[in-house]
Amino acid sequence: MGVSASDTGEAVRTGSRVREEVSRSFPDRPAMVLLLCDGETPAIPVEPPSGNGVSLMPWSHPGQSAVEALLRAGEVFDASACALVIADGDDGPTTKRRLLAPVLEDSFDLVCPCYATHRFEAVLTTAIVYPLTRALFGKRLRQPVGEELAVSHRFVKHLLGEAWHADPAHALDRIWLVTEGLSRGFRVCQAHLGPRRRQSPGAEADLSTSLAQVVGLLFHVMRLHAPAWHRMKNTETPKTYGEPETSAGDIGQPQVAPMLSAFRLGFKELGQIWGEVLSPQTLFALKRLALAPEESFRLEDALWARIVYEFAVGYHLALMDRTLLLRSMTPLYLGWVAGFVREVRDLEPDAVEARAERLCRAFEVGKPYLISRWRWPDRFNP
Amino acid sequence: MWGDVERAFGNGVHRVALSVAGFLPGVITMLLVMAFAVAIAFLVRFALRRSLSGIEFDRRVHRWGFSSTGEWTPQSSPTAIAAHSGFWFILLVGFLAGLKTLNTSVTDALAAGLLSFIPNLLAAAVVFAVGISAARFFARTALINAVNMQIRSARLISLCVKWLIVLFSIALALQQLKIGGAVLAVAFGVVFGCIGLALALAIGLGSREAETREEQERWPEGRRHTSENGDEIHHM
Repeated sequence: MGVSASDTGEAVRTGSRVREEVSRSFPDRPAMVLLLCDGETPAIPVEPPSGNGVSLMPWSHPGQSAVEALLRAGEVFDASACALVIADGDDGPTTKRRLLAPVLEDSFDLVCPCYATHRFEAVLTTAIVYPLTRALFGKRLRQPVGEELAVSHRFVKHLLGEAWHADPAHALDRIWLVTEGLSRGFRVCQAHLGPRRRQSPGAEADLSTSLAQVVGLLFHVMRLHAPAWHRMKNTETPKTYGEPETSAGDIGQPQVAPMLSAFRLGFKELGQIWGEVLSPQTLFALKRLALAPEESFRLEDALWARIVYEFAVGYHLALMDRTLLLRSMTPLYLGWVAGFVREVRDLEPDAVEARAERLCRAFEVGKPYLISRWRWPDRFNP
Repeated sequence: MWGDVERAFGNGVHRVALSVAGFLPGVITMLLVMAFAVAIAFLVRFALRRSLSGIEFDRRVHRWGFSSTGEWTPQSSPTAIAAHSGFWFILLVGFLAGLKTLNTSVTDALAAGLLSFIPNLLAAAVVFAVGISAARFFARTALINAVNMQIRSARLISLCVKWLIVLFSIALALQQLKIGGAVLAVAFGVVFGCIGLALALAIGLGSREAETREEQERWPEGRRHTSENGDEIHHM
């Protein structure tokens, strides 16, 4: 197991807790907990192995991401399973065994995390990442871009071999990794890991940059695996380990007005640029929406799915500079978020999930349109 | 006396006939060169049309940001314009080469001067084309980023960026054409100096405002419960 943390002390504390849990959960399996550190190996005392030989040791990976370091270590040690854990600063028992157990006991190749999130957390995942990956690749993985994960020996070999050589520029980025598993027929499941540490909104990168990175990578893997997702017809829920939990605490009520204002400004100024990507019907619907009052503002699910699909086609055809194309999506995304906030601010968690489910259905219903435009873009050009 | 006049006229006609006879081969060669140039120009136009259509040049130009090309007629599409430009360029070169064959001091000087100017003309055209493309790209970048930062005058910023780069590329192109000389350099020096001053003032005033804002945020009573844009959402 690899433990990634920005702080050495936190890494050691989490590593010790993970080691205890692994020793207890898999007593007859040799294991190793690596404290992944970017750069020079810090002066961490190498702790002696626990009762069943689980040792805790620092693992320096200069120039590599935590995932790559873990997978390369797994290859070196010929590990049957590797799991990446993010230090959370807690002192209580961990739930990380749920990551390893599906690989070791049920022969899964990839285990994705499923965190208990507040309704206004991971909104980009709810808006685009989850519905799009689900509609494309047929697996209802609720959080495909979670930071933690577990992979089998077979999948490690594939990732560091054939997949790496096919696309080294994006290799091991989280969405790339997950879609590689989904599109190549590896066995994928998800595990509930409880709540995760919450970042302050200010700690997140600039929204348009994050959006461009995440959505750009999604659109890139769409190009990479087009034959695979063209074939996928239905969606199914993957095997899920653990019980869902509800997120504790409140993160406040977001204000809708600034997001609406961003959307309206975007429509006014970027309408011409969107016109190069979006169809006339979509533009007309957006024009009507820009005039709608705040009380009734809502970006319909079908329209949102259509917008995302048309941007994906625009990215695929390189209708304009791809980074600019992705960045120009920000006001549209904020428009969707404004409607989402209005709808779910007073709902129970189950109802919020049902709302996300309706959005996913809209993406699934719109998939034939995406495939048509992807295959025959000229038919839709005026 | 009449005989002298007749001889003088005869000599004049003879001299004219001689000079026409000396000039005629040059004219015929020039006509041949022009005919050859016309043939080559037609060939070039045909080849350009075919090859540019093959690589979907019109659509590429549209994708590069020249959105108004969609409104152009087929006769003035980017492919047609490129093909016509190639045609007239070959004709011009053929005409200049033809002038050289006349072998007179005036035409020689004219042809040599115009031919030596062609590299500058091409360099200026390339500089201008690159400048226009760069202006469009950076104007779009500025517009999108300004809108994402929710700046109300995003369009104005974008236009400023666009015209700044266009003017700069025009200055470079004129310099290549050796037009304007020192006046141009001084004029642009003044313009860029003004822009630098405006930026310095903007950054100075902006920093003062930012510092005041930061100062307010340090005090608990001034701390807002929502972020600057009221966004309490964790997108990632």
